[in-house]
Amino acid sequence: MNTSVQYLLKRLGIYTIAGWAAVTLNFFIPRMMPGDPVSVMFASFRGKLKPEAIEALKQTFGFTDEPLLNKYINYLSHLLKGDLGISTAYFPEKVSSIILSGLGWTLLLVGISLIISFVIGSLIGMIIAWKRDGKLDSILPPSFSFISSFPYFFTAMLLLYFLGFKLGWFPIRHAYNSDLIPGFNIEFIVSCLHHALLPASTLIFMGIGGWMLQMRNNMIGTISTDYISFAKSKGLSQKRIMIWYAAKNAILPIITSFGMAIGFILNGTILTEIIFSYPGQGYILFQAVQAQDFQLMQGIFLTITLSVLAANWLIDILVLILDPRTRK
Amino acid sequence: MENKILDINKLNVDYLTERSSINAVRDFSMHINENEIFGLVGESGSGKSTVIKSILRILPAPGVITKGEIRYNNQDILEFDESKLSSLRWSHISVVKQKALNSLNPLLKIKEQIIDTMQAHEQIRTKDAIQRCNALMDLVEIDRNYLNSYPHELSGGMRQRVVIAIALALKPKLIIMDEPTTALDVVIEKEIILKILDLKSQLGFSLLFITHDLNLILGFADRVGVMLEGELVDIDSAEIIKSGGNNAYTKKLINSIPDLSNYNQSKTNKNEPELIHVKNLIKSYSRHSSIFSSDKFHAVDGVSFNVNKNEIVGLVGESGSGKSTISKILTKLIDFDGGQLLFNGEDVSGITKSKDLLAYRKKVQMIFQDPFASLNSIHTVYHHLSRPILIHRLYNKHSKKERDEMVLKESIDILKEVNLSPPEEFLYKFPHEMSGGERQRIALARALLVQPQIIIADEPTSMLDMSIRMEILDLLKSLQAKKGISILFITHDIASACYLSNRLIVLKNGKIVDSGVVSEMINNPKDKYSKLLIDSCESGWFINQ
Repeated sequence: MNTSVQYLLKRLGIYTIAGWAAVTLNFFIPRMMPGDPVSVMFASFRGKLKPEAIEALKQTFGFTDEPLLNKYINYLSHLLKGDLGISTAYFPEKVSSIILSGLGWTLLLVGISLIISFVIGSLIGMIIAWKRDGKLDSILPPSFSFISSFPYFFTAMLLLYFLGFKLGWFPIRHAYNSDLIPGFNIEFIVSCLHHALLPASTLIFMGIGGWMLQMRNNMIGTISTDYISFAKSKGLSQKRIMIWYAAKNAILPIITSFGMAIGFILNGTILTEIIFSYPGQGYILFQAVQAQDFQLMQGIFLTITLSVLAANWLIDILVLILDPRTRK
Repeated sequence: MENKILDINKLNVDYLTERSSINAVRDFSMHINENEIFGLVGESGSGKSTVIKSILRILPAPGVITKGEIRYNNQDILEFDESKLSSLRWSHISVVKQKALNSLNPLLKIKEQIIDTMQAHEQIRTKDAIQRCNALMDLVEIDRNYLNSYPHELSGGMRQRVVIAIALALKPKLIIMDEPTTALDVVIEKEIILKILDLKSQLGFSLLFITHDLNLILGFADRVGVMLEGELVDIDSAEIIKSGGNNAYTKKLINSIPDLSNYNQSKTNKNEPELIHVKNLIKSYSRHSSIFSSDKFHAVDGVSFNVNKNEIVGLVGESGSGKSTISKILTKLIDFDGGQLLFNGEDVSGITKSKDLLAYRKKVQMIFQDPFASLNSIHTVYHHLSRPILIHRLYNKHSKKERDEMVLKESIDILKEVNLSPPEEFLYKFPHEMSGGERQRIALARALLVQPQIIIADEPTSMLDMSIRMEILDLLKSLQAKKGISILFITHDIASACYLSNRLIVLKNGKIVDSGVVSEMINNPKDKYSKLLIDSCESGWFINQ
């Protein structure tokens, strides 16, 4: 078998083990915490329920008195079928369908803004490193460091207040105009984009600086290598050296941190989605915490973990494609 | 009269600093004829690289050409504008750089790196370019299939050939080679030089070959120039330079060419007891380790030898032969995986306690290759010399004041012994204020201070210029005789090993391939590889074969 494929399968194996470990921790930790979700949940009924009804509900939600191990096996088998249980906060919706809809919105918002900020940041980093000590190089890095030093929610709220509330240029909540029926038509898509624009641009704006500085530093290291000076004396055009000789090498380490960033961002968007009331993962998690909806919380934690693992595997593939030295 | 392809006339280059300017190159004049090999020799810092950069007009700021002219085919390059320059570079003059091994972009296929050179200078269809790539690969004798490989899939020698192929891609009239073989071992160096000469006779170009290795260049150059501190102090045909040249400095360089006839003839006393004895030493490193697999390779593979008291043993091998690993094992810097290490007949394989290690290291001292890296740059010489005395608690019974006096006295004495005078002045110098040779003397002094029984010297001269090398070797030799210690001299340079050592051990791929008394090894090497190493000390050895 091809060694690259072997390597990828190996990595997949490692991620599977990590995924299983995450699932297990995800199962046991909440159950080891003090406090009883059942009593919290039924307290809201203030004793209006008959014992039989409580018992029936317990069965429905899976709060049984079985031994922990049995529950664990049950949990795993349900999980494999894609069944994460039923939400209490959004009763009677299934956790999996809530998460799917949330995940869709989050991926749309976060995925696109992460890619855009990565691309723009790296491009700027590449250019300012190439023209080191030029005008742009003396202006951009310090100003982006300044911007990134603001707390994220502060910038986001500021933008929301002025651009959304005061000027009314952007909608201040939700992912699309609630008068519309979701569907694949232009009106709906435009509305989605309009709603995503403000939260996405804050994310992009705050993200560019980090990528830019990383890329700039890597580029400067690469520019001093022997193959760059050889390429220069070969008489290649500046553009070719900058992109195919310098940037292509400089971006490799950043790709790896891009994979990690996906994980951080999935967590980090909680703030964005809360501030912009955007119905993604983070917003749902916030709701779930407020409603003490354990099933939903667990489900969201799980998707975050799994998506980080999946992202890392994709990055493995990407690095394999970009760096021939990793292909043995 | 022959046609001058390059004619440099009174070139002056200054490096401007804020306060003053440094004359890097002064009144440098030379020319290269068509189809000629010109060797430019000089030690590091002599201005060789500045001359090349001036020819290519890639002199970085703050370097400025203040005077002179550089004529290529009777046109003054210094008056060229940028567009004329870029048509000159590579199509007429190309370069093979010093670190050619790293000259290739690791992420592009060989093919792409040759084609982009062609496309930067001429309109050419990819199909035609590939055909020319094939021809180039044939020329440097690399299988065409490697065009689709990445640089890391090629060996060092092959990468060097690819760089030469790129240099030939546009059929330039002049190729500048800046130490093209320095990073390669003797066998590959021979191959590459022969290839270059072969290509030159096929294609007919002029060659400006820059090197610090006079011995190498005398073997094949038509004419040779010698640079010293920014000036061309000697220039003449290779024969005349070989016989001593016209200048005292040339003579000095010629004399410092390691000469095998000048080997160490003193016989070791057979009755001296063994000091170090290693038996069947094995050390392996794993290359790619993961949870699932590891791929081990033996850096040292079953090596047995001994070093007697009052003896210098030369351990000769190329990079990757395992010689540095052995030095680290002997100084207990790393552990080994198999075999035994005896010191004075005692098994020291298992000592791990820091107290025992300290006692062992007092007897076994080390000198490292790089005198620039082995001395911490923020401390003075006095600090470096006093440390070993304090760490090994040589004067712990004395009062602090007495101890300080002793340390000072010892430091001054040892500086005298390594010929650094006046010692009082050197005592308070920082490493950056001294030359490489002086630093290596400090390293030697530091090792000697604790009165070791053996010094492990790992390539102590390889970072030094030719002319200083001999001084350090002589110093090692005289101090060894005076103090009656042993030295394990680790080197890739068989000539200096022959000069210094009583016995030689030749190491290849972690195994000992040959060993014996120096005179025997020189006159009658038992192994093919050690014969090759011995032969390589003759100038022009590879052509006469």
